[in-house]
Amino acid sequence: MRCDKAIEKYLSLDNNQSMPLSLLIHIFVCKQCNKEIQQLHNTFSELQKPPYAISLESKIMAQIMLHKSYYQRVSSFNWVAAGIIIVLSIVSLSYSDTLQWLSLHFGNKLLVPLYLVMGCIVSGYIGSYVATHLKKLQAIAHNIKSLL
Amino acid sequence: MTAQNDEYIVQQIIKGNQELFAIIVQRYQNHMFTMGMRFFKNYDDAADFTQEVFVKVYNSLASFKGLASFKSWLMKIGYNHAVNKLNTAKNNHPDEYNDSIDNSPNPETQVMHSELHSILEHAINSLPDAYKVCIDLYFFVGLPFKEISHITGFPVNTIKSYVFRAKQQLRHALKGTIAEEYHEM
Repeated sequence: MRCDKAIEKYLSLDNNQSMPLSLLIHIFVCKQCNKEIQQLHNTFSELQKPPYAISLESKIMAQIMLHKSYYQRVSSFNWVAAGIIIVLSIVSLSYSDTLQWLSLHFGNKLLVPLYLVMGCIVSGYIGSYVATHLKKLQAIAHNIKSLL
Repeated sequence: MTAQNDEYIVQQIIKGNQELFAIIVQRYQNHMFTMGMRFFKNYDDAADFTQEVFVKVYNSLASFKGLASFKSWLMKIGYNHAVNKLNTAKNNHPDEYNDSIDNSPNPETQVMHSELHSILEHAINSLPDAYKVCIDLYFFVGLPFKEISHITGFPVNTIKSYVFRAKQQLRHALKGTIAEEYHEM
């Protein structure tokens, strides 16, 4: 491979692309190309730093902190809807044919595990709500305290 | 914590660690500001642009699927926002957004801080405007041709040829400069 071709090949490489074998062999035997490619490599590496240095971090973070955290991003409508669905499911279960059929087969023994499951669902719902709205609930509690 | 990769940090932010977004801002604010300077050519607009993009990125984090690198995804949001903002500004104030560069000194940030950057800037200035940002994305952000093409919509081969041309100009310009002497040391 000729020297000019070798340099051309080096210049046409993509970011993070490894050198082809033919080029590696050439720079192994050609000291001049080896030196030039090393210089170019250092130059291109140095250019990886952007030319402008700025510090907007505090301004940007101030704006970001005004937004709700992702973890709390379930809308109030969804919380209310989920609560209504849970309550309706529990109420309608008492009137369902399935419950009557299960009661006929298993008797009153079924009621304890059934109420346990319902209790877990309701506790899970309330627990999730409290965990994700802790700050809001604290603020409400603080307001109530100050009113009293 | 700063050594964590971007994707891990994004996961943590989505889980509720909002303040970790500061690490993302630290890592990429200079890249985004450089893109802003490329499009808007003045400090204030580039700074506003940078802030707007990061807020937009924060609000879109949940839609990051990890199909491309986070850096590439972030730059695509920045690029699209810049193009839209520039088009809107040009429609509203056609006289304001010509190609003149705001040369007002700003000691905090007017920092084409090395001879290398000046040489590259000179090489970039010979390119058509639309492609200048490709060179920025290649050199300063370190993205491969394919990702630059994905962000800008320009063909890979066109980007390749402009980057090649810029590298050749750099190579010629570097001969006998301080930069060459520096690397010889």
